Amino acid sequence: MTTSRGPMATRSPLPARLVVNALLGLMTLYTLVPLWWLFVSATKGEGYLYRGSPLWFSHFDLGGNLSRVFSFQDGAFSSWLANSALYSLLGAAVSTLLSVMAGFALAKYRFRGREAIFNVILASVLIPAPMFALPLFLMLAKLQLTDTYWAVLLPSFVSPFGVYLSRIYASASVPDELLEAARMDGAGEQRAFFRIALPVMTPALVTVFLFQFVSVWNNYLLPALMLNEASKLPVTVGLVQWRSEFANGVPPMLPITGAFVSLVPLLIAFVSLQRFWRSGLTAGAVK
Amino acid sequence: MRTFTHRSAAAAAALSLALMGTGCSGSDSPGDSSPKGPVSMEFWGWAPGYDKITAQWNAAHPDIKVTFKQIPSGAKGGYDQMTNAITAGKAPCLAQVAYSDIPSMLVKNALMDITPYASGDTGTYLDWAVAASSAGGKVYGIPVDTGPMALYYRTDLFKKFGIAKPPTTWEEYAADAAAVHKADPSVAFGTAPQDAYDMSALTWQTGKSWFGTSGGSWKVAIDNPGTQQVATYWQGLKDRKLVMNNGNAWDPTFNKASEAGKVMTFVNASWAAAGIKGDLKDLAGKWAVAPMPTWASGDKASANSGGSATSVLTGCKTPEQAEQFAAFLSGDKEAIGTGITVGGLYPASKAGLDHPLLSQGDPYFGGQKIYDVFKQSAANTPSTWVAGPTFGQIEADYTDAIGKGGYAQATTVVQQKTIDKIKSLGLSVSGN
Repeated sequence: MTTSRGPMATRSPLPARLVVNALLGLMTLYTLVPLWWLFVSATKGEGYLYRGSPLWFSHFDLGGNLSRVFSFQDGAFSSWLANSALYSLLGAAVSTLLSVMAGFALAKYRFRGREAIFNVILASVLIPAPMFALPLFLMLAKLQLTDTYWAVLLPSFVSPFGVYLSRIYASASVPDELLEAARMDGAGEQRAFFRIALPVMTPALVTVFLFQFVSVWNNYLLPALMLNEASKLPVTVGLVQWRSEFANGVPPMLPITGAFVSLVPLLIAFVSLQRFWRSGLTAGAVK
Repeated sequence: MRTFTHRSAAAAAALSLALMGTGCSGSDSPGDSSPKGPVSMEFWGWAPGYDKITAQWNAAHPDIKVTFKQIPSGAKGGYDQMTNAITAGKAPCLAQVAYSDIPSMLVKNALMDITPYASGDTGTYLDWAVAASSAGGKVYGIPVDTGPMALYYRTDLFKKFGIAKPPTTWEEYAADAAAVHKADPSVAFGTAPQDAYDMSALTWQTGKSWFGTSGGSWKVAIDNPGTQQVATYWQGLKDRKLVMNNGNAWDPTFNKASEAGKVMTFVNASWAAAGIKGDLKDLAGKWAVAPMPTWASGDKASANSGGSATSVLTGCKTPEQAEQFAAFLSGDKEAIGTGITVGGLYPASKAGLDHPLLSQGDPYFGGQKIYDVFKQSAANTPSTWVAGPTFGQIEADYTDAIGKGGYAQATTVVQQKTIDKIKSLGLSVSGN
């Protein structure tokens, strides 16, 4: 019905658009102002954080702040960044592989209990991740794995949301005919998955990877429970420790500049993988 | 990515080797009291400057090597790491323990009696600091630093409001606060107590103590006339809006108000000077330090907040050498100097009070010799204070209760909760 009319006709009336855009603008501001504050604060010289406007530059000394962040306590910050990178890269890589395999199997194979399994996974998407932290701690303590790299890595390998997304994407974008054709040509199930289905599922792969990368990078509660040893901490826990030690000689500018620096890898990941995850998110929306 | 994980794995392996290494060196020392040959020990702490002092020790003592490890401060997880390490048999020989937490570490059997090695030195430290690191006549730590209390005030704002000199009594303090409030209600004269650290320091000044012991039993007296006096006084100021309801040094609200000239004083320990010097650089020359106001004119009683000792942890095979290191950390002139310049640590050693660094004027405080004020404060700190075995609980409960009701009500609540907590530890306890 609408296709016969011009594109102008499908637009909503002007007042409605204004309201929507104003709301979106407000939301954008609400999201960006804290980031802007963080950036501006990270550039302020030590001792001048409370001087002048909190949202505009004064006593610019980003370079000095950066060098203090990286040199304080023998470079503890660099090792936290390295730990965060290890946890997030390895955690996201393994969890992406597991999620895509599970999602593919749930979408393309028929077996007894398939829906039950999927529903259990779906249910665990609804439970907030922090609820799992304490049970996980108790389990890993039994295995004597707390305060090791595995204590953070093992839980990061699992992503119910990734399985959910992969299943939706696989059923929407990997045609049964394609798999049939592969099997007819003599490809085994492994080959059909890795050579045929996986390339088609790349957008879902990137989305799952990115989501898991961000959630592991930002995770605080789990590593805070699991780890003691300063050399194994991720950047989130390290920064909170600094934040609580102002009276014990940690300059207040350190956690602020550190928090800003710790955002940079996330920004890079998002910007460079943006093309992929946009198409990944909308997958399944039309079918 | 691959090289990266590889490198981290290597680092992890190196780390576990290092841990095993220290574990071995701890256990292969012979059991007799004075092992010959090189000894190595670990030292866990969080005070700034301890790493450098340890390096100074190692340079002078090649036979007794001490490795410093930075841990979160006690209340933020440091003590848990110590007790966990003791349970796992991987505890360091030496650890920093705050005076307020020595009794609770003792209750957990975490500290070693070092009386045989330390008894000759105890006279060289401030009496109350020695008392705070001892129990039942036995020494459980060598006092390192203290936190003598003082009044920090803004000279420029005092001039602006026509106040000639800092208040010497709490009565004058209240009168000045009322005068300032009358002249400009948006300006607060000071900041209100926020937690158990504030309440205990203010009570300490009254000469009353929150705890006592008699015949192996704890006596809880948090709800004592001294605390009640403090509670009533500050509740009055708070209700009349004469003081800000937030912390002081390092508190963002306080810092913001300071920059705007909206707060004129605060009462805190010597180490708080580092907070305003670090956060409020452009207020240099505007702050000064005066003795803490007293309850009666002519009375000089001051108080202490914070400070720690170096303790030898249970399981240490070389307590004698550990005590030697602790004595160096607290008493060596160069070590004290490093503590002052790097860590802002005010020495607990009597000789340390005359350290040349403490007789210099501080440009931030308009050239004032602020340590003269702290020295006087340390000398006038009553030695009546006894810390209890559950400071972590008191701190949590007081902060919580002050937020919910007034100071007086909070004091009653914390008194009861503390008795309950000590009972739950299986210790004998009575109220006042």
